[in-house]
Amino acid sequence: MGIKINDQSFKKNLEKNLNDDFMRAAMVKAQDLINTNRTNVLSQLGDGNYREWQKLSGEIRAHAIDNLDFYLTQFSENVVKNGGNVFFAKDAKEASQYITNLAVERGVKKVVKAKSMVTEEIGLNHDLIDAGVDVKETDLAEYILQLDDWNPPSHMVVPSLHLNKTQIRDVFAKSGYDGKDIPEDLAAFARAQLRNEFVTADMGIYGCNFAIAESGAITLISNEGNIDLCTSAPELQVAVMGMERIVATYEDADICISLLARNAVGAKSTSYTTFVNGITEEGAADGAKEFHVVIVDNGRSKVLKSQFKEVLQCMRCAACLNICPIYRQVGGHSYNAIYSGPLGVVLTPLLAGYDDFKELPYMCSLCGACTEVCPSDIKLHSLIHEHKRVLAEEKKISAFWGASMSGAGMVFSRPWMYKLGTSVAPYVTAPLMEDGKIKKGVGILKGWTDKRDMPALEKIRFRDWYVSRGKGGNK
Amino acid sequence: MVKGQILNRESFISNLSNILGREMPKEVVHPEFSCKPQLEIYKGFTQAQLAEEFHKNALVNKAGSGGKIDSLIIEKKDLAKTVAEKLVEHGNGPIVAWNDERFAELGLSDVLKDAYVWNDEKGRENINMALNAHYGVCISDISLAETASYTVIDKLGKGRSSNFLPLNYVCIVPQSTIVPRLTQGMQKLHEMSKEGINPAAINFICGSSSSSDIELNKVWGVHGPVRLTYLVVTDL
Ligand code: SF4
Repeated sequence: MGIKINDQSFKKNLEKNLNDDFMRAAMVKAQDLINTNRTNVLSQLGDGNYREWQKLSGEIRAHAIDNLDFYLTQFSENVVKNGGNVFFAKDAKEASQYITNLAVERGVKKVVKAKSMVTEEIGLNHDLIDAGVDVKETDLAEYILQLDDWNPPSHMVVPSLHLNKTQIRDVFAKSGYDGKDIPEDLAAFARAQLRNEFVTADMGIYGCNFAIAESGAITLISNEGNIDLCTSAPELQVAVMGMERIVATYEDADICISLLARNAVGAKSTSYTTFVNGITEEGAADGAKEFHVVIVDNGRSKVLKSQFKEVLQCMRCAACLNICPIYRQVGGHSYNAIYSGPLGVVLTPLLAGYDDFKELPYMCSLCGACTEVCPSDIKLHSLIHEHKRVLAEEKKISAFWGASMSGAGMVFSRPWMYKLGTSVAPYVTAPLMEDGKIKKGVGILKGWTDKRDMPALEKIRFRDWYVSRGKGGNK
Repeated sequence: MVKGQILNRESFISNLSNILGREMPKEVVHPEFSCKPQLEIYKGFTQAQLAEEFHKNALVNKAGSGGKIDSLIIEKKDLAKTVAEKLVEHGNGPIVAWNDERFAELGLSDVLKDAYVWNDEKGRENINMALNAHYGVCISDISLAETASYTVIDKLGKGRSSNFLPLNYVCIVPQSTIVPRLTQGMQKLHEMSKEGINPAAINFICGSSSSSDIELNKVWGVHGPVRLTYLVVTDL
């Protein structure tokens, strides 16, 4: 799939999503539910001083990023001590090719995969399928999306949020499900289908929430337990990680794990927190006999060099999505990339360039809610503001409303134009009126009136009204 | 099968060092961070108080799971009887257990006499036995009061698949294994790692397998065990 999820224009994509009423309601429901749980569980964390934990976690992540060369070296040496192998990949292609070649060379027929954003980013699934390998996504949401012809994810933690249970039933029907659209029944069907896959797969592929330099451990966090099954039965296992996933010690990981679960799903802990240290003990009946870690750069070193370096501290909890007023309205697919919400606004243009994603920084009102919640202590809104500055001042790229904004700038900076414009506006908009409201706007008004009516413009200008008010005019 | 291979590291790491504007340091001193809120949780609690907290938090998980999780506080003298009850609570069916002498020490040999005991020499056959097991039973190595988590540290005889495939699970939590939270669990792993001991897998588990991927409705047993019962044993 890669970072970009479709080839439609940004505006077309947005228009389509704004008309998807189920998806929009699902985003609102998800935000409300996860935020209520999150707030609750964070208020019970220690003495409820979240800011202290947030600061500590930010320091831990920043320390690891500032010493990335040292800790990645230490980590790779420890993976080897644990009987594993490490491949450093400079880009998506190298990473995906390494894993695909490994599968082909070992004669792998079936892979079980646990949810991992970085394997989406490197487009691994399609390379494996092209090489003739049967790929089974095992996270329930990813399994649904795979059966739905690789429908792209719309949320980092709940990727199938945009599909309702009836749509999911229809997707499962293609694989033989003949039951109703009851979540328990649908999940039971997935359980029955997937259990056998875990124990018959030749290879397990999973991501990495945190890599621990001092031991070479890969940390994996999940509620479903599918990751644990991917780390149990297959004899060949591959963990794929963005190079920034590193932390120095188990004790540092404690803080990150403690905040990740609370922020991602509003729970004290996910059901499963797993550490994998290379190959299994000699003679063991299960666990990896051959283990590889693929460490991916794919544009991250450019970010490290830039003023956006702080975003590498991200732990992919999705708290910023769940609080964002824009995400709430437009949903994950409107960001046109696997990373959505405020994190996507910052990260996607850095990894995939401004050309296809120049509109993203404008998907932000700079309210700062994301910064307030971020457990990695990233000043997200400042980074988004910086993107806007780079676009306007350095790249001179005008986003989709650039022309409107420069037009407005011209009018506002010339008093005679402003006066003329505000005086004639009620008359110019008169043909668009119905029942005293503007119902079908054109041009810049259309975006507004497509969703709601606009009040009629008053014939008397505010400034004139305000002056006359003091003189006993109409109050 | 390859082992111990590192590819492309030199160019990758030297690029990072360049970007960071220095040579790669030979040593990095782990800094003292500005605060340690994690050490304040259940500070100074006795083992008995931690056991109470563990049980209390397990019951919170029980309420959130619609009864799929349960917890009992018992004494060692009642363990065999309680385990026997729990292993038939959701119908009769095959049981899988670790090859672990602690079961005999706890007086459970009789209760587990019909269980399939994990035998690494039998290879993949173990996995099929776990796949069809109605019950699994284990003993927590480290237990976390804050989240009511038990821990399985991988070792021969413990069979990873036996921890994740059975339909129902019973976990014995000796009070002496309970620590306040993940912080102390991580301190233990840190100490082990310093001594060169890195178990191949360490699993902290605090619930049954669940998912909210279908319209945010919580469903249980999507892959792993559907039900989980903790038996907190106060005099162990
Ligand atoms: S930027 Fe912060 S809030 Fe957003 S996903 Fe990353 S860690 Fe979570």
